[in-house]
Amino acid sequence: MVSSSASASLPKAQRLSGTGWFAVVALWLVGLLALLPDVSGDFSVPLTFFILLLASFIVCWTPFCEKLEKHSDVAMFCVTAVMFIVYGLARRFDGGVALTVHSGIFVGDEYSISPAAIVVFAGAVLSAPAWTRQFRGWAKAVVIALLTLAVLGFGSFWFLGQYYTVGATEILDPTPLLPLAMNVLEFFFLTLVCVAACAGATTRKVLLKSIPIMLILLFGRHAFMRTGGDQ
Amino acid sequence: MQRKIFSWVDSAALVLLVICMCTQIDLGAIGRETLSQGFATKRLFIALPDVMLLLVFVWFVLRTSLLRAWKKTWWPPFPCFALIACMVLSIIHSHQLVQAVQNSLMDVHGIKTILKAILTTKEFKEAFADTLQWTGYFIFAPLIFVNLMYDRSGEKVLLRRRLALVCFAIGVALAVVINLLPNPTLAKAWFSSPNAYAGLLAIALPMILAKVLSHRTANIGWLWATAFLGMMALVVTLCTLISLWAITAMILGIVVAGFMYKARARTAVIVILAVILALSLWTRQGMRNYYRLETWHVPSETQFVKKQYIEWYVAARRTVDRRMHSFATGIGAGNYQFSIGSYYARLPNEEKMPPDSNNLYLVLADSLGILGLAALFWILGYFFKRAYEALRLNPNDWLGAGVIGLLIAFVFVNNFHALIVRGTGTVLAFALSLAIVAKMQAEAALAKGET
Repeated sequence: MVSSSASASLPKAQRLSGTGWFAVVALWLVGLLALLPDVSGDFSVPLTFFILLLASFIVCWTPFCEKLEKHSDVAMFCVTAVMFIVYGLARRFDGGVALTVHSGIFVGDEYSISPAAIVVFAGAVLSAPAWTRQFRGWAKAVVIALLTLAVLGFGSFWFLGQYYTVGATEILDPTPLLPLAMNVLEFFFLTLVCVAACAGATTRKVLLKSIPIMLILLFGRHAFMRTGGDQ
Repeated sequence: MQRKIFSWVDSAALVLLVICMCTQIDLGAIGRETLSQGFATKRLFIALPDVMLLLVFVWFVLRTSLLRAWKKTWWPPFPCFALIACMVLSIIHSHQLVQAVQNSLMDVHGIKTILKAILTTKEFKEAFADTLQWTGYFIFAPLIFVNLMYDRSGEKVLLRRRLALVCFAIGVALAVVINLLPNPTLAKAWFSSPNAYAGLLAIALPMILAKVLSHRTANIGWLWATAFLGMMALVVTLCTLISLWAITAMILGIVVAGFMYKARARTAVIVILAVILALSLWTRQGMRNYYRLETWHVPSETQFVKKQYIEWYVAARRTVDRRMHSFATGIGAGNYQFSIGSYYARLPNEEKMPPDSNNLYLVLADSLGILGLAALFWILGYFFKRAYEALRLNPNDWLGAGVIGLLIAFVFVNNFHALIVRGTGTVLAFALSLAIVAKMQAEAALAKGET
């Protein structure tokens, strides 16, 4: 009985790990892209990476990590919290390859899609089998939060539109709507990638063990090498 | 003997904390009053429930250490710690806050003066106070409430659930009774604003009414009597409330609680009769009706739309400001009010807005970012699930349904009255703790039944 259930669960675990690797690679690519922008003058970035680095040493490189590996939801929260910050930095780099989108609804609204966003989108698509099976707890909370913000933002715009003139130079400026929608989408896909990376035990372990390395690189870059790159 | 004394003090501490959390008495504002000098300075509000929470926490640590009961202690779940972690992240990753601290450290030398400069920076002061308060509401308060209501420190479990709930009902009843005076401006009991008061009632009544709906007994007379008392309590509460949003949330919470508890007919009868009675009484409350309608009015005295609703769009707009790293981690805990004015652009920015009328979700999305907002939903979801499991394990216990009703009312009313401010968060912590107590009790009853 035991052996049959174990053999039945093995392919599923392997499948989760298989597609989960795409997510791990995508997250690492985002981490590398976060090395490129220059954030001179913004002391909060190196400070954040320093604190995260210290926390990650304790969480990922001590026996505490074994406990964390067993609780996928907790691991998912830790990975998401770090990657949200890293992604916020990575998307500042456009490298001349960014795509510009127009909503087509309002004149003059455009939004630049960074290479980091493209990486995250690709990661989310390729790792779909992994995140569809692990969508619970923290992941649901993030999606509810994103939806709440989108509903309140777009709802309040629609509501105010009944009373004020709408336009880029009018009382009610619609230009923040496109960035809001794109932010919601980008962070939604990023959440999916984080969920997928934490879905399988092997990918979760590898990601947790490697996050401090990513943070060392990021802290070193933004604390001591403050020249070059896009801003 | 020692155990008995400790038990008495535990009960007294629980009673005091529950009664105090039904108020928002200001024990004194910290900071200098500078309005007379021509400029305003933000002052920190010290609420009685916060002070009481701290005192009870100190007692709890002391007695648990003396009883060597830490191993038997229930600890808040990870989502509660995650929210506090998000608050810390929002502070250290806030461009605005870190820059303000950096500016205050210019030309400052010596550890003492550096620390003083950091602690007196207004942005940091607010962030520190908020983080401390929320640590109290989401970690200390559930820890205290669960372990005092379901006390496992001794050989046998000591249940103080009824004591706490009776005190809660008394606290709420006192807050309602004090507002039966004719002056509508008094409709805030011991709270700092009518909105906070309305919010408390909106979330408290579904819990109290769930108890009224619960009597699964063959004694029909007793059923009628409790239903009548519950209905009268609802009518009296409806007559003191000014906010129509709070009233909507309250009724929504009661209906959900009643339906979850499968007391649909009783719930429908009580709510419909209470609303009809209250509406007939409202016709005699001229000025109160004026204030009531004001809460649903879209325009203000000078603008097409009230500042309260305009600020929804303004707050949503600020979340996408990349310079501030706003979307992921916000602009820093407690820093919502700073610089919000600059995001109004051409939208009218009236001077005044009723206190506590912010949208909690947008305040969180702005100050803690999407991470903080998600962490709050994670907490609510976690405890909602525990309440639902308690109800499923023991369908005869009303508490799970009561907590679900309260949480639904809380989720709705926070769009219009932010309810985790200056002491009011303790009530939410109390409700969350009740979900755990209900689940623990249901599990214990199930285990007892099996043996």
